[in-house]
Amino acid sequence: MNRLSLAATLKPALLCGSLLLGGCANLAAVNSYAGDTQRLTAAFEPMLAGSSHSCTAKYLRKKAITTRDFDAVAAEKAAATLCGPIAADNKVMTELNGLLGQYADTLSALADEQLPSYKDEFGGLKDSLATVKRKGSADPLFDDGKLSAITGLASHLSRIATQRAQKAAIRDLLDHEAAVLAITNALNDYAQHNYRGWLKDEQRELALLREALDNAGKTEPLAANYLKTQLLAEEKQIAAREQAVEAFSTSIRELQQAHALIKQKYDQPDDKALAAQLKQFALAIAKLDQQAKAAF
Amino acid sequence: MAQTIKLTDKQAYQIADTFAQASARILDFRIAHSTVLSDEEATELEKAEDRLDQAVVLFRGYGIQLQGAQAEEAASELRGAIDNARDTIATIHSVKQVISAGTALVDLTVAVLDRDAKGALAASRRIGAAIKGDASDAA
Repeated sequence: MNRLSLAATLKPALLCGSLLLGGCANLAAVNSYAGDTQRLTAAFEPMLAGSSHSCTAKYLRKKAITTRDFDAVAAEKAAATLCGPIAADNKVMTELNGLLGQYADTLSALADEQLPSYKDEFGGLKDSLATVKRKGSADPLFDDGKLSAITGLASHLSRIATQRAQKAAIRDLLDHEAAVLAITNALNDYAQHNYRGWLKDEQRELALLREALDNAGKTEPLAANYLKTQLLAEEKQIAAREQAVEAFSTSIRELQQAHALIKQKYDQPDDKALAAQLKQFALAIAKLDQQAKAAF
Repeated sequence: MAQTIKLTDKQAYQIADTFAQASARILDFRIAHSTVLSDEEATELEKAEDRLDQAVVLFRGYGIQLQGAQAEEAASELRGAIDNARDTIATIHSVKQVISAGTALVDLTVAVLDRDAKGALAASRRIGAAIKGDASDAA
């Protein structure tokens, strides 16, 4: 076999070194899943500060409209005392969300096609070897063909060794499906039962405060109308936040289904069901991004 | 002897919601009867709302603690998996470092054979940088 045909024989294996390892990894699918999971964790963050904000806004709104001899400074201080502990309580959720983010970052780093690629490193080695001269002569020790064969083979062997590790590490991360499920369920429960609870409290009280303003409008129509306009704007904002919670829950469901499929079909680069599920997940995340921008 | 009642996170959230509803009912009463309530009565009702609002914060916080305790095992499992995966990434990067160091070593040998002091110094610096993993110096 001459040098050219050796390189030609190696080429397909270089393109998919994992042929020797039992199938190609669907790195594009892993990257897509990891990227959308990173976006999901970013969309969750405003809900944590949102709980504290909702508690404070609700308290101040109620006091401003219904307290006789309202004192703004005292009310603000009391709101800080009442709602202050929420930020500390939320740390648990911040950590779980951060952990999911780290999981996605690590998957993404492992699924980087350039990770087990030694193009730059072996390019440098090839250039250096080309400068080595025969003893007592100005002629290069290795001609172009020899250089290509040596560095090509070394690159191939390094790639096989590290691609195996890359693939195994991705497989191992994907195998922790139950843990991913538990953490994403916890984030979803927080969004649905805790953060949404604050939003519902605000909505419930807004209806009552409107009634209070109707009563006050008989004697102070200007102030009542001004506050009613403010309440309307706040009501719309709260509705947008509720929709963001819904979009988050939909995204969580798509993430969980995407995880189950990618775990099963990680070795199948052209699987249509996986591609369709990842598309669904990406669409849900795009909607979530849009909703979160409108809400926070 | 008093028995400890163990709540689930969802029960804690439900209790918090119930307190919030109770607080809103008192507010509703206070608003509906604002013209007939004395200052003292209105203040007392407001205090009752404040106490219920505090209980809402308390039980929603408790719900989070319960959720955290439930997810702890999963979180610990995932932390371990991430650490292992990061080790693999580090191993792959260290292969690249070894190749970069090997390249610089060839350059050092050539420079020494050519009696090129400047080239030898630069190559030895690159070996050091490659070992440390500083790609910009090693390139």
